[in-house]
Amino acid sequence: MAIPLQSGPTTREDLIEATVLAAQRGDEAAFASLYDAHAGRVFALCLRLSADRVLAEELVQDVFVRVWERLGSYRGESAFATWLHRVALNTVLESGRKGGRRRLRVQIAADFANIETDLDAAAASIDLHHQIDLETAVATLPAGARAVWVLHDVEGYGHAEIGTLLGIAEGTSKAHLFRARRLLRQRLVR
Amino acid sequence: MTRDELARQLPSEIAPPPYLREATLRAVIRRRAVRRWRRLGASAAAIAAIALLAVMLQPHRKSASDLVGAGKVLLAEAHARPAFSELDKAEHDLEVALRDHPTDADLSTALARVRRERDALRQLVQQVNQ
Repeated sequence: MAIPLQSGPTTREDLIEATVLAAQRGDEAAFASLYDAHAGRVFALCLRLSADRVLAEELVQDVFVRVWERLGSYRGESAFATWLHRVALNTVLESGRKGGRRRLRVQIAADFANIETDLDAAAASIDLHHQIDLETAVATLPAGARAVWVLHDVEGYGHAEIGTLLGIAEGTSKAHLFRARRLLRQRLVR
Repeated sequence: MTRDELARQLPSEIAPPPYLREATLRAVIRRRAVRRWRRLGASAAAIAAIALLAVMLQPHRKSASDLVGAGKVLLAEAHARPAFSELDKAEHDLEVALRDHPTDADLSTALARVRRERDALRQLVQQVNQ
């Protein structure tokens, strides 16, 4: 059997694997490539969960710093994108626990505490005379409902896992999902 | 519960602002510099210094003292070389990070300590040489 003289990356997965390996060895250019490949997905997650552009940018930085720190622990047992997404999600959800930036966590916690609040109360701040797009509608959802909707409907997590991630009961997660979907439809119809 | 049809309309990616790329990579470099410094502070420089001291404190043998002295120098240099290398890398990382974060007191303190440790190590090597 002929053995190729040079065995460089041949598939997209091989290329990602090679880039991750190079980044694990401290190659900054390789790490920049990983940023380029994944920043869009990470930013989308951070922006949708925080509904705050400035905070989302800070979170993206935190995510990639953490990815850099933990790159050595990535063993290739799952796809790199999956591993990175999990790091990003944990970073976003944990960000509120570390003193300074507590907005996101506080918002979500406060919202879960007020599940019985009138569904339309949060809609009052929206300018009814302007059509809003879906992304904006998501951003104006109450924090808890938004977090559950993003995790369930956009990211594909189940209620049990969402409950664990957010520290709420599975039933609460379902209630928030129902609430989020209803609010979204109300807002998009206007 | 199935996923909402609305969610399918959302793009899976949103392009972050271009300046965020550089800011993030700078933040990574800063973190690397600090981490390298922390590792270094606890291990390489200290071990090298102790090793040098141990070599210096070995009693002279009466015979072939010149040979023993030369061996000491070689041994000291062998111990010191990796420490110098680590200190140089740490200094470089910290200088790069400081360029982006010139008012960062932690980085300045770390850089000053790296330089002090390297001076101390150099003096130890010189003492062994004398």
